[in-house]
Amino acid sequence: MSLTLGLLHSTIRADEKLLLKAAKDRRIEVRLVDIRRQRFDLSYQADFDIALERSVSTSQGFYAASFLESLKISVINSTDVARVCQDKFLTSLTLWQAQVPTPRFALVFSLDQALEFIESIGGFPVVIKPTVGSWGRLMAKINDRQALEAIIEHKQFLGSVYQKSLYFQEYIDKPQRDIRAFVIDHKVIAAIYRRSSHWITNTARGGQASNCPIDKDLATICQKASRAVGGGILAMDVFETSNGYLINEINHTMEFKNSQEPTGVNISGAIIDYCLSFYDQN
Amino acid sequence: MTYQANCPICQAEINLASDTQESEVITCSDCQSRLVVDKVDMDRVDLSQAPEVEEDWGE
Repeated sequence: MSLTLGLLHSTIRADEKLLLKAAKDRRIEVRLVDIRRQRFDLSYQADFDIALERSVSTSQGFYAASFLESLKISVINSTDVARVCQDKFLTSLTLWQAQVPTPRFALVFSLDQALEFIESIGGFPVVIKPTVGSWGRLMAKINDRQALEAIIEHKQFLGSVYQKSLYFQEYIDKPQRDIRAFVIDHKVIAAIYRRSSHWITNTARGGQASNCPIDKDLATICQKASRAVGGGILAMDVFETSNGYLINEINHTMEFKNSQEPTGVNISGAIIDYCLSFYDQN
Repeated sequence: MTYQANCPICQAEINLASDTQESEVITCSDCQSRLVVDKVDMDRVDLSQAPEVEEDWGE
């Protein structure tokens, strides 16, 4: 039986166009499902077998995937995986519980508790991030107490409800780069270095991508992290330290358009192949 | 087949590739506005200004 793949999307990025091409190359039929134009209610009729969730909005994608799963339609990645990966605190907790090396972290709701955490890890600098968000937005490296007080005050008065949960990570002094590893079905298929003179290395913020060789330690930690969060199609941000690798974050609707050329790996093809294999096995 | 449309912000003429998709985001080469393809219909493409990035957008 041939697969009809539902591609759940909002805006179509270059990544989705690469996926469409990969599906076409494999003669897989794709239904484009713009989730902003759907009515997810009891009258919904799905005309696809499984879905690949590619919404640029995390919350909308999660609701759409939850709805389809309620109809017993498998979604890649599942909402179990998305629930953990879309929230940086839950990701850190899951990695910590699975004993996957990750930067020390805390979630607090006030200045005093933030100061206690910072003292416990040896002082400033420290990184504050929104629990939900991407592309390096609204992250800050905080170097002293005055900056900490100002940022918390701004978040508490101007921020949305997400911003009032204060997620901190220890600052890792990177060698002007980090690693983005693409992991499918627990296996690293490609990795890039993201180089930047700025401490934020996201390619969305100007980080330059180049191929990163996959050594045994990188493959092992990524496999362990993938198993911890539930597997599927994942992109992991990895720090290099003198004590080995640390998993920083895990993305469950990864962007890869800047990584195919430097790695020479057809990541879009690997994603579609995984969907096909998942369908055949389930 | 390629498509032609005008930027809704600066009116510049924009050429779009034959595989243009509805909901695709493009950038006007003249004014650099981010635009979204609202509709692809036969030989016509409708464009509008792309939505601003939201707090939960990303990977």
